[in-house]
Amino acid sequence: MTTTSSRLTSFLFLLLAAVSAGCGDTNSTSGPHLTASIIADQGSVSPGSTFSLGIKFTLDPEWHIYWKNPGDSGLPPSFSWTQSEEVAIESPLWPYPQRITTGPLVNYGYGSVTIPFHAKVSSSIQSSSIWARAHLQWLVCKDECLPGEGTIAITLPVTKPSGAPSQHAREFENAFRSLPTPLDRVSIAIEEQQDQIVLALIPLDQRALPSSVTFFPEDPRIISNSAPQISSRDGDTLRLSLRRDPSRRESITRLRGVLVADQGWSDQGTPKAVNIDTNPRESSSLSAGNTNGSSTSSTTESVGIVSALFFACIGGMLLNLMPCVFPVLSIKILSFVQHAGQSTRTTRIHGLLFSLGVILSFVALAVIMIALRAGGEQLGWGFQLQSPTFVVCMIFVFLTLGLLFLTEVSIGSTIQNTLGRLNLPTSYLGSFGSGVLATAVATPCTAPFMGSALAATLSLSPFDSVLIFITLGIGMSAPYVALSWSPPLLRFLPRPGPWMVTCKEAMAFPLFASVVWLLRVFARQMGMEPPGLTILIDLLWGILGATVGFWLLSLARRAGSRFQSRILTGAAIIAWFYGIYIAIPTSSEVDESRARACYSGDAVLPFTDSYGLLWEPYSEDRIARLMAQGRPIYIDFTAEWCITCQVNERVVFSSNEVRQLVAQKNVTLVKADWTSKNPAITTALRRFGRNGVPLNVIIVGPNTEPIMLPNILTPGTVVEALNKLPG
Amino acid sequence: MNRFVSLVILCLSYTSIAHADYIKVGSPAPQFTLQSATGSSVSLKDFIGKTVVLEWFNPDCPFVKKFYSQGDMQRFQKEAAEKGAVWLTINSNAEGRQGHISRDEAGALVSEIGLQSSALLLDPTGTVGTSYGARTTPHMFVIDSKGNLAYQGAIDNTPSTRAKDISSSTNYILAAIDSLAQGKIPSPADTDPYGCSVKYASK
Repeated sequence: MTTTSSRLTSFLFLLLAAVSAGCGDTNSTSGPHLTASIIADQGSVSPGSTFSLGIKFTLDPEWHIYWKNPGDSGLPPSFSWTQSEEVAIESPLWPYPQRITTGPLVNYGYGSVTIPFHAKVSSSIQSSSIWARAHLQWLVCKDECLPGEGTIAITLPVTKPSGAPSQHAREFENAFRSLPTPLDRVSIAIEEQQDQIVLALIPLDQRALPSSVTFFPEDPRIISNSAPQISSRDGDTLRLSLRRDPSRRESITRLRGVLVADQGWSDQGTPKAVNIDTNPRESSSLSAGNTNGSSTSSTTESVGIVSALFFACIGGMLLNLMPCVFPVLSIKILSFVQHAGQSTRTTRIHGLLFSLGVILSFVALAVIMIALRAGGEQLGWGFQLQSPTFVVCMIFVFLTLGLLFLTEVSIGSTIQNTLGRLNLPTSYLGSFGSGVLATAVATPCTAPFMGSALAATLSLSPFDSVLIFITLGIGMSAPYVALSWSPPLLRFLPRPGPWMVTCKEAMAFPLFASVVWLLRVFARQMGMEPPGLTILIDLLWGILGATVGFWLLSLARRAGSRFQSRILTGAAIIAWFYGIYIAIPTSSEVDESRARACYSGDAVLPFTDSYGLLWEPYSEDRIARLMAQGRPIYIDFTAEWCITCQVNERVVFSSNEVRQLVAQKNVTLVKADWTSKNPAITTALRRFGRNGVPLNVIIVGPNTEPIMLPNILTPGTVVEALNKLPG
Repeated sequence: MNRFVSLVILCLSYTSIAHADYIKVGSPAPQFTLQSATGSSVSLKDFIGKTVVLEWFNPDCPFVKKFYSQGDMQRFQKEAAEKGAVWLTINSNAEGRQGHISRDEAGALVSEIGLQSSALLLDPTGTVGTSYGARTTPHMFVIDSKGNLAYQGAIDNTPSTRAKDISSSTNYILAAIDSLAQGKIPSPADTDPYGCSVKYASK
């Protein structure tokens, strides 16, 4: 080629390049081993519609790109959008990734994948088409890594009703199916240990969890990416052990990411990936109290048993203060002291045998309970604190027992009286028998307490349960042994009196405290979360405090002296007000709780009520948008504390005729919930000339007067109003 | 039975798999002795009393090329030397894997790139890289004069492969060297490194 022609050729090439670069972008770009193209799920869009865009990456085999958390190395692709004014594009939706291992390092990423983006067209759009342009940067690796970038764009026409699905519907279907879904009806507990994190997933309904899952963390440096993750099943619970990142010292405040089950989360064909986002500090470790469930040792559990035994011992001793036990105690002691009337040694042996009788009776009880429990487990009952049904039963058990203690109801006093008069022979066997009998005699009024002990031990291992009962027996028989060791101690025993009744009543309150604790457990199992839950439980503690106050007041009435009466009344008043003090939430607690529940006026999602109707939450934008669409709107201004509103809703929407008309006239139902402070709704009420609820308004159109319904509604009133609407 | 089996597997797995571990800032930096590109033997203990910078390196990695292509990394290395620090560039990529530097080519590579560090060290078995938990190239470690790890992580705050991002980024290494010279703890002392993975020997 001559110089001139080569110059000309290069000039032409440059021109061509310049033209193709400036002259409208293409919808795909490529680099080595990767092609990226932009696709849409519809052929056209309409004003106010939502649609999806997607960036489709096609990679050569064995090459990969990265997930939002790339793992030990690498970089996720980045997307920088510019688009028509009337279009809003949301953040990328990441399908669940795969683990990619290179030697001792692990990355999270994909081979070929489509990343979808939700997009929205404004309802006031005037132009006949929309465009979107994405500037992409990526890193594609196999063994070596190659960075790349490119710009791709798409144009879509705007038509009246939305267009038909595009030919890419299949890619979008696959992409959306690979997105993690929220994990519901499953409770998550997290145990942070020295170098491990153990996730326990507990199903709240009948379905079975997968037998193994893989966790992909969203944040770096929380877990060791390369360490193996061990799944194990323990009954219904699925446990996952993750190795912590040893270079990170601080405690973990947030664990979020994706759990993937190859077999699908419920059955074949169900979504494989779920999102989790929890705070280890606030997840109660439901498994910690259950020694059967823990596959990792923790010293806190052994400490728990020791303190349980300690309390069992004390509890056993306190049993002797029960009104039906205490008098028997002194009689029994005196009887074998007198009848023996001889060497100290014999008396002591009698005492020991007596206590042996007591302990063995307790053990017999424990064995019966364990047998029942084992049998129950075979039948699939599961006496575990992890089952909400069990927790509810326990709540009622403790509540009943507490009330039994507190009120005048006593069980089988006649039996007790008869038995108490029995005198057994004074042989060694006789003393042993006495011990058994003493326990039996004590049962009627110790039954409430015993019931609680039995219930509490149900969640422990058989060995621990027996140990607890033995200790209870030791505790209960300890005074007997002590007295048989030195009978003169009898002098120091207090005389029976009304104080025994007070003791019995006082034992009710620990039981009520257990009820509050169990309520918290139950609430967590039902999916309620702190801080909202904590505030509710604080309220319950406050109520308990007030109840204690009232009880103190009743004591004051019964008190022996004016002085005692005054003290008790004072204590009652303090307890009452302290209860109220605990219960009132601080304003920061209220704000945090509401923020957590996404309870701000404009952020809540539409929901379906118990009548099958779809409601949208109130917001000014929503109303404006709906009015622009020309649909009639029924706004229900209501509040949880407004009885009239609640009655109205029930009366009106249970009517078939109303529901049919709502569907027929294409009415949008909007709920303006004024249960908590909401300035937007307050303003709206004022605009309609009101300053309170209930208020029910039907907006017909932007240029027509809204129909104001009366305060007290009947189905007829609403039907009449709806019939005035066109259509 | 299930629990017992999983417990056994758990115990065994920790002993058998040598996955890359991460070191905590503040602990003593692991000692090592490696051959340099010039053939001499270099040990970490030779430099006690000085600040030492370790840079994990792979000449073919786009993140490493980001810093070397416009002479930026060479400039950092020179500045560090002027401040009295010792900068060691280390290659832990295994033989047969991408990015491995052999003894023969090491010397030529140094002059080709214009490496300004005190030495280019070769760690083909990956032992030193594993002991530090080096997982990306570049992955930076700064060791104080007493031999304790004072900084680990990324070289700067912009994870990308574009050289033009360097001028607008905060360089953590030079900042760490300055802090240590003033007797202060580097801040930040611990960041998430970015780069290509170090190509250790596959199993």
